[in-house]
Amino acid sequence: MATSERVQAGVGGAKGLNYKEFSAIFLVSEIIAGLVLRSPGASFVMGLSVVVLLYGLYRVRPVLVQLSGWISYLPLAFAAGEFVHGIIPFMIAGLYVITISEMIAFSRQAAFMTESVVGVDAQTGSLLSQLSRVHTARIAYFLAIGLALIVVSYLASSLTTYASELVVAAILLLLAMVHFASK
Amino acid sequence: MALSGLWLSVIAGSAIGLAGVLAILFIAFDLIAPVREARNANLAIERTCYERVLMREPVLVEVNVENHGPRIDRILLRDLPPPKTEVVKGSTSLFCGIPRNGEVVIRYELIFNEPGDYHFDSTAVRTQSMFGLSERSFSLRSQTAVRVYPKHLTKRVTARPAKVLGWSGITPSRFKGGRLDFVDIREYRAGDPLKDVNWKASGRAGRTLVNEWNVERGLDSIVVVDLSSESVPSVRDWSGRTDIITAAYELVSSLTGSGNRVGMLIMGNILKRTKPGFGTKQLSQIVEGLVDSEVGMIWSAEHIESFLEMFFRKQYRTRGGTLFFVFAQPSTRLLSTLKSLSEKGFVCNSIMVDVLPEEENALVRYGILKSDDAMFGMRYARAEAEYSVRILSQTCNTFLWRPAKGFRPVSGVQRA
Repeated sequence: MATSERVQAGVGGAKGLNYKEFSAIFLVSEIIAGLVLRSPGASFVMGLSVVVLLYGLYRVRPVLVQLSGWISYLPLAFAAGEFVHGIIPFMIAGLYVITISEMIAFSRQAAFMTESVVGVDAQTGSLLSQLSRVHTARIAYFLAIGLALIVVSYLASSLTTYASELVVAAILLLLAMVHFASK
Repeated sequence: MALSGLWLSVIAGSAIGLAGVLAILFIAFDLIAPVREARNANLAIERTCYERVLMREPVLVEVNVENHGPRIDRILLRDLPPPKTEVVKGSTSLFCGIPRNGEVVIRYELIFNEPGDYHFDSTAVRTQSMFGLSERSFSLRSQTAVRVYPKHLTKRVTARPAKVLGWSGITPSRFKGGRLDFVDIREYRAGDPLKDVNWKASGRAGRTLVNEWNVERGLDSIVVVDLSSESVPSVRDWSGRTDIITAAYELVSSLTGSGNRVGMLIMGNILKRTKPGFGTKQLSQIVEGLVDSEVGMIWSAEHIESFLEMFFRKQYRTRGGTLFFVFAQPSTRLLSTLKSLSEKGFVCNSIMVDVLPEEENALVRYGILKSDDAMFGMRYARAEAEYSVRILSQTCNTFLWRPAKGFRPVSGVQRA
């Protein structure tokens, strides 16, 4: 039996941004989008997104956090469309909401596992940090592939009509899936 | 949803649904490989913990989880400690990944708030894909039983003489070398201890003489613990049982430690009785009975007299047996039993366990009463306790027991 000293109160969990900071970033981006659009409809959707996000965080439901991201997708895309034209704002907004809501959901779950206790032991903290690193790496990989997809789609759209963009995107998607599945 | 977004984009000629491409990519990233692996999770669990522990002492619990299947990207493990326990250090949950043939440990310390048997049963498991889109919930069973014993809260009473709390009885003490009164000087006989040799008298007489002493007498006692529901206050998870058991344990411990003969009768849901006996073996038998005891109304105070007669015969009356009653608040049944036993010639002693401060804490902690209201209520409760003491003191010696402070005489009928 190990000694009680192995359980150390107050040892931290995963390092890096926590769910509150990610949520703040997300809310700031929503506020900026609302100011850019100046539309009651957009404001309502943003408000709904915030409510769903807060409820999802409170109940620790990753699905609700993801849903909150998707609710704010269109206002964010239209707000981005005020500065950049074409397909880019939609794809960038899509990539943004997926990434940020996944990061919020993950860090909320990680915080929930350690917040209601009197401290976690060093090994538990280390395992959580390890998982956090792997998760961040996987998100970064997704971001890289997503950005590459956006760039290629943009280049393809300058060469051909809109319908063919979708075909290109779909082909690239299939390639990405095959690539990932073969790993 | 992502596919329908793409389809809408195509038929509407709009870029709105293009995010569907990224959503599909995200789902593909998460689900293609891990789903298959999560379903095949092959986990083994083992919990280690001391099987016999003391109440309110931190106990380390370790739950080892081994993965004999494919790698699990993300797993949430939550051990479920039994009720009436409190985690004081560490976490009962773990959020991590486990490689193939890897092992992780949930490690925490908890305290058991009441004596008794506690059973750990299962650990809740949720295996997830890396982005949490796929999830499987189940529980792993690892049964562990922990037996929690009462703890001596007060400094132990000195082991000699064979009297406790000012009483002495007529039973020869088992405590070797127990001496009470000097009787005479006599010739040395083989086997007499050297410490009894009277060296001065031996020098004068020219032969070895030893001092003779009266054998020390101890109590022949029965401790009756009243755990009937009407006598044990409780507020949600908290109950006065812990303090009553601790007080009874301290009393029995000091009685047996001083060479007295002690028996026990526990009233409540389960009737526990231990025939009178001496020594540490007797003490441990009594403690086991205390740990197994349960609060309830099946065997209430009105049965005490008949059980005393049934189990311990009438010899107790003729031999001058002493009865100790341990309770938190005396019920009318207990009071009438005490009166009846006292009239029949038993020497009765009441140990009233003061649970009021703990009860007040529980009422405030659970938000049933505000601090000010609790103080107001305490005044009434104290007045009621004082009234009980007055009634009790008409029939028996009354002592008050407080955690960590021990026994304090509050009244007596001077019949010991």
